[in-house]
Amino acid sequence: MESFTIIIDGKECEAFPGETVLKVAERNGIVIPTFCYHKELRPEGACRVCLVEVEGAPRLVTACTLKAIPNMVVRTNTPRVRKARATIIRMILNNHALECKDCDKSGECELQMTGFRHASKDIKYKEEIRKKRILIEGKLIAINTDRCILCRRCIRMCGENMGNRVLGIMERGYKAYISPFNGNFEESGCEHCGSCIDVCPVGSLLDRTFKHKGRPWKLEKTWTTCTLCGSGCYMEVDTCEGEIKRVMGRIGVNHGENKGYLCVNGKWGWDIVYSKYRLKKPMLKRGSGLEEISFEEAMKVIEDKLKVGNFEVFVDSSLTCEEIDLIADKFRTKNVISDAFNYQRFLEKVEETLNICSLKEAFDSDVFVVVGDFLEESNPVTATLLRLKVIQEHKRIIRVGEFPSKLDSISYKVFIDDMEKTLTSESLNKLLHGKRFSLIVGGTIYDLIKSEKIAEIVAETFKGASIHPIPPESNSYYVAKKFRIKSKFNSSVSIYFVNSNEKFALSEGGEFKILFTPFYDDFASRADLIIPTDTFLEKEGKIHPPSTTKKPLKSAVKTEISLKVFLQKLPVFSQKLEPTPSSLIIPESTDTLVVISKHAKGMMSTYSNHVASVSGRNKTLEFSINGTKKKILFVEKFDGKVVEILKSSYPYREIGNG
Amino acid sequence: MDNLNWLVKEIEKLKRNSPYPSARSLIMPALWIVEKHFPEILPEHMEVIAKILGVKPVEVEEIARFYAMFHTKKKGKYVVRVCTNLSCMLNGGESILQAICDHFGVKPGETTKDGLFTIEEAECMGLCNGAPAMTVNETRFTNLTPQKAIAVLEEFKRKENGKDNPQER
Repeated sequence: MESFTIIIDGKECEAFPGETVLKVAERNGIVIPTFCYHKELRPEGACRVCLVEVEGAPRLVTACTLKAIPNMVVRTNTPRVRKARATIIRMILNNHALECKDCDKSGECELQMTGFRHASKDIKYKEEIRKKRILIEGKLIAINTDRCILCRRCIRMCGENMGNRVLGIMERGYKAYISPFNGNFEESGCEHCGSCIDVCPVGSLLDRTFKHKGRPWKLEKTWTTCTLCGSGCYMEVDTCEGEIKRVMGRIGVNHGENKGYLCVNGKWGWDIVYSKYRLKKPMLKRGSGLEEISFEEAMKVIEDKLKVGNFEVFVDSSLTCEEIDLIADKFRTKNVISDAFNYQRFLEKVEETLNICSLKEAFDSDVFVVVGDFLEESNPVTATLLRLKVIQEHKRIIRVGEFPSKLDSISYKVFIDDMEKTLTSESLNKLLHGKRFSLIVGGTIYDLIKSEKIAEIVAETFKGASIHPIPPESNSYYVAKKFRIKSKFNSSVSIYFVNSNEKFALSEGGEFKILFTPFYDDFASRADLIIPTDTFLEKEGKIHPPSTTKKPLKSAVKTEISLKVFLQKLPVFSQKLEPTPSSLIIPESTDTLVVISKHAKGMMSTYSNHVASVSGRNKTLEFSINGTKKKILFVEKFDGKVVEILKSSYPYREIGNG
Repeated sequence: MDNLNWLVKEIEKLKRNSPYPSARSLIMPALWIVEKHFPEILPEHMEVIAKILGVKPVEVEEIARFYAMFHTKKKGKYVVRVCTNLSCMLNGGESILQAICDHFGVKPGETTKDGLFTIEEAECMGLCNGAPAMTVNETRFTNLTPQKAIAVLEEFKRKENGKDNPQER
């Protein structure tokens, strides 16, 4: 694109066609105050704080909506602009509650900042503040309507960027306030991603778990990566005196892959650190009960057991690279089992003929072929980023799946049919002809029985194209690359490294079970020796997505328990037991697909009270697609029943009748 | 429940005969059906509309609560709107409103005890040539005086009292 110059405040600035004056000014270091404008949102021009003077224009114009044109002369700091700006901020402040002393936003409030810098110091208006006195309280989000300045950022975020449209404006005039449908977040289908809180310029939309818990200027900020799912979101963890107070995405400031968007687990799942299920001491099975022992004793038990018996290791694919390296180093065996088993099988089929690329590289192309269902459940933020590519950059999504999805409404073309049929079909081929496209694969696809077959078809039809296989867990790619994973245990001693215990329960094996886990629950009680580990918020390390760069983890809270330290102290165990071939039992006929919702993922709805408060119940959904009936078991919370069902078909997630 | 089923059928009929390209445009006509046939627009009704038209419930609620002619709170059988905009005000619209309110013992925006009339102060209804004006549901009454206005409403009341059940739909 050819650039041209415009003059802002006497400075010659380079501008590109279609850019707004505000954007050009921002790039050139000229500050124009804003409220309703947000980098990630569609400009609206509602607050009028960004008024600027344009030579030749009779009136002041909002810089956020004004497109730059060649030879434009803009002034942002004339007396006329300053006066208008001060009046507008004064009018906004006039109906703002001004409860800064007990507002959680105070200290990072945009109205506070802009008000101090640009508002007039004298109060002209004698009219009394019009209080609405409506407080809307959801389980995790609250709205204080008196502080709202009606910039509509939250509505644009919720409706356009997230595609949920939970929030709306009720009433009109000075009575207008922001509310979800019927004043109820859960009823209106809120996903609790927390993006509305993140973009609110004042303290109107509040994180209820942070309410009156701390002041922003006292908080220590740690930037780390969330390992609760394969999206691996970069996020800010705020702590005060060694205790986590909240997690922020910082949309617009965050330079991570996720651009600051989070899901309910990332935003509110931090309370797993303080979960009542957290383990403090190792536990050994004696008789029928478990007994607390010290770490040294635990180490001795491991040494005794591993000296005599053959052993196998289960490696959770949400551990850090360093931990996985240490496990591989200390437990030298070819018998490794992992939940990345399905992912590895898929990866092996496609990597021969296709070019594995990172999400960022995949996003460079114009058309994305999104293969797989329920991406919004397995990797919510990746689904959001795909949505944003369409909304903000007008790229195209062609969705190939077997069930309806949230992405359908913004897809250019949706194929809901047998995936094998669609991928080889002429119509898909025609759509991609001559286009720069990339494949993005994820969701439930890896857990299907036909997953390998689909991988073969993809490898055959799209030879040479780039593919981003979205990892189901944060470090699936690293585990899949490092080990040769098998599907079932057959040794006398099995060692599990897990971050959530359903993984342990799902692939049980061995006579003596050693479990490394942060949590103790019903499933963990089946183990013979349990050793506590740290959660992702306490770890230092890296995770490796399918990309050349690793994502860093920084510990936000200190803990005495550390898996890394424990592993370093262990001696090296090696065995020459030959790996047993994977024997997969493929169910004959299946009619139900088990979908693990984002709440159930990593057993978050069990360990985290915040996530549990907004998760629903397990349910069976029925779909009729192209005349055939399909059933889905939608898991919102892991219990013994769900584990039994999944275990019967492990490692697949498709079950037969009954 | 029967009423809701009836509403579902009505809105589906509306959708079938829609002159508009998008279902969103039907939110207001659909709300109008509820407004006409139910004493108030309830969240249940909005949910039904949202589901059939394929929009989010909050979009329906926004519209229902924005316009003064949609009632999300219980209204009387007859909604009496007295204009107090410029032409009507100059010709005594405010005194008519006052007289009616005094007669029935209510304030503007309230419903009479028998549930018959909801008295509202309205903006311009385009009846300036016959100012001062008022409407009872969708019937116009122009060139009013306080006495005339009360007489009109008393006539409505007399007719209603003749019927067995004034609250029937």
